[in-house]
Amino acid sequence: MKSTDKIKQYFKNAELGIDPDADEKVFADVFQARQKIKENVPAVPENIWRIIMKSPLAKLAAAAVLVIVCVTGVFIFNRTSGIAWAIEQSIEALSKYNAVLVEGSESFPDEDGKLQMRKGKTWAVANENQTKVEKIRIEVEGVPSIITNGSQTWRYDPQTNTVIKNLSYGTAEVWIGRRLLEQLKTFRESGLITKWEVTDGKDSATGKRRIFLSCAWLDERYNGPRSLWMEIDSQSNLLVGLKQWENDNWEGPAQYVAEKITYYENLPDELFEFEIPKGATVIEH
Amino acid sequence: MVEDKLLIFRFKQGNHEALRQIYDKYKVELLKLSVVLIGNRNTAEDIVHDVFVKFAESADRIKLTGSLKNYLVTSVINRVRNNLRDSNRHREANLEEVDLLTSSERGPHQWAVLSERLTLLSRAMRELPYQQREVISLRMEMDMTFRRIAALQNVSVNTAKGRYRYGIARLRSLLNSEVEK
Repeated sequence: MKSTDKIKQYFKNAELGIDPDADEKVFADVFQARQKIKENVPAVPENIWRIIMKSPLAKLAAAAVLVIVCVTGVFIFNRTSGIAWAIEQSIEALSKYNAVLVEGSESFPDEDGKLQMRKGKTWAVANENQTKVEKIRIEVEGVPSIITNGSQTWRYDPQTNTVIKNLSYGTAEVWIGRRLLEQLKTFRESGLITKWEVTDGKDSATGKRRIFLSCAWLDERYNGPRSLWMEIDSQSNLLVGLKQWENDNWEGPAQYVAEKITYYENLPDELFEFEIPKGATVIEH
Repeated sequence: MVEDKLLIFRFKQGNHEALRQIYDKYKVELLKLSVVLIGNRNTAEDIVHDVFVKFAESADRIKLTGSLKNYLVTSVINRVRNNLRDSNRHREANLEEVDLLTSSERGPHQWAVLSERLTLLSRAMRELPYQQREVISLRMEMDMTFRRIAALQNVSVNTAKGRYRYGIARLRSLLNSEVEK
């Protein structure tokens, strides 16, 4: 080991602990400083408030951010009668939100061809009509892999440190919010969806009542066969969890699992910009 | 970096938990940097305390162009420089500072608890000229690039690298057998 590396290791191993009592006192000071500033902020006149509200960031600020965690191990009543839920209620609830953060995992084949799961996060903003995804940021294991800001797209491969710019295929198109349920409703009405079941139950961690929609279809025209399992919060009517299989009978491990969904009215533009890593090869289309 | 931007965003909207998360995420790193740079635990604590208080007060006006970590590190650096400049002006006794660093007695206001290794490291770092201390700390502790360090010190990249090289050589001889452990 080089002596510089040894010194670096020495630095890293030189530990610093925190006294919890003093820590709370320091944080109390920091918090108090913040509170004082907030108390001294003059009231904003209404006309200025309106100007501020035009900013997407301010809209996100004002939006009631709703975080619902989908916890595995729900207790399902497994009955289909007497459930006071209709897909229209969720479509209406989802239409209030134009942006979303989905945290979950997806399967991928490893070098031996075995399916493994990897964690991912997706931030997305819908277009004005909430029909398509306008901006998206997909991170796999904390590394940005696809980012679109509405006019430019970056794909990053950390293995080869390569950035591919403006190659448009493969980005999500259908808005995961309202549009997804609208499509499912249409597919069901047209008879394309062959299996459709609504059950209800409780989240074992929070005790909150949940609606579970299971549906499946075979038709190749719509990326089929596919089966979906969706978890809907019965109070807010929002989609809080989702699993997808590449077969029509929920068989085997799910290909995609959304474990936590956070809804926003908007998300900051900075999220959808990509800084090209140092030394990366850039291929432009 | 994205997480930080969201944290700041939520904090600006009045989410107290976001402030707590920012504080918890960076306090140890900043305290360690401050201790190594200034060599005085109490002053280092005061500096990081002030950085967080100032951040809490002025977060609404902050427009980050880089990362939050870089912003906080730069705030610490600026305060350390100001403190050293003021200390030089008042010619404070260095010996007293060393005692404060190595003291094992935990006073009511002690926030950082230094390991023996960190105490030795801080003592050795105090033997280096401040500019070398800064380059080494930022490079070793914060994994900052020479380009960024050079910009922070307003010097060329080669000058920053030179300071690093001389500083490491001196540090190696000061720590001597300690680094072999």
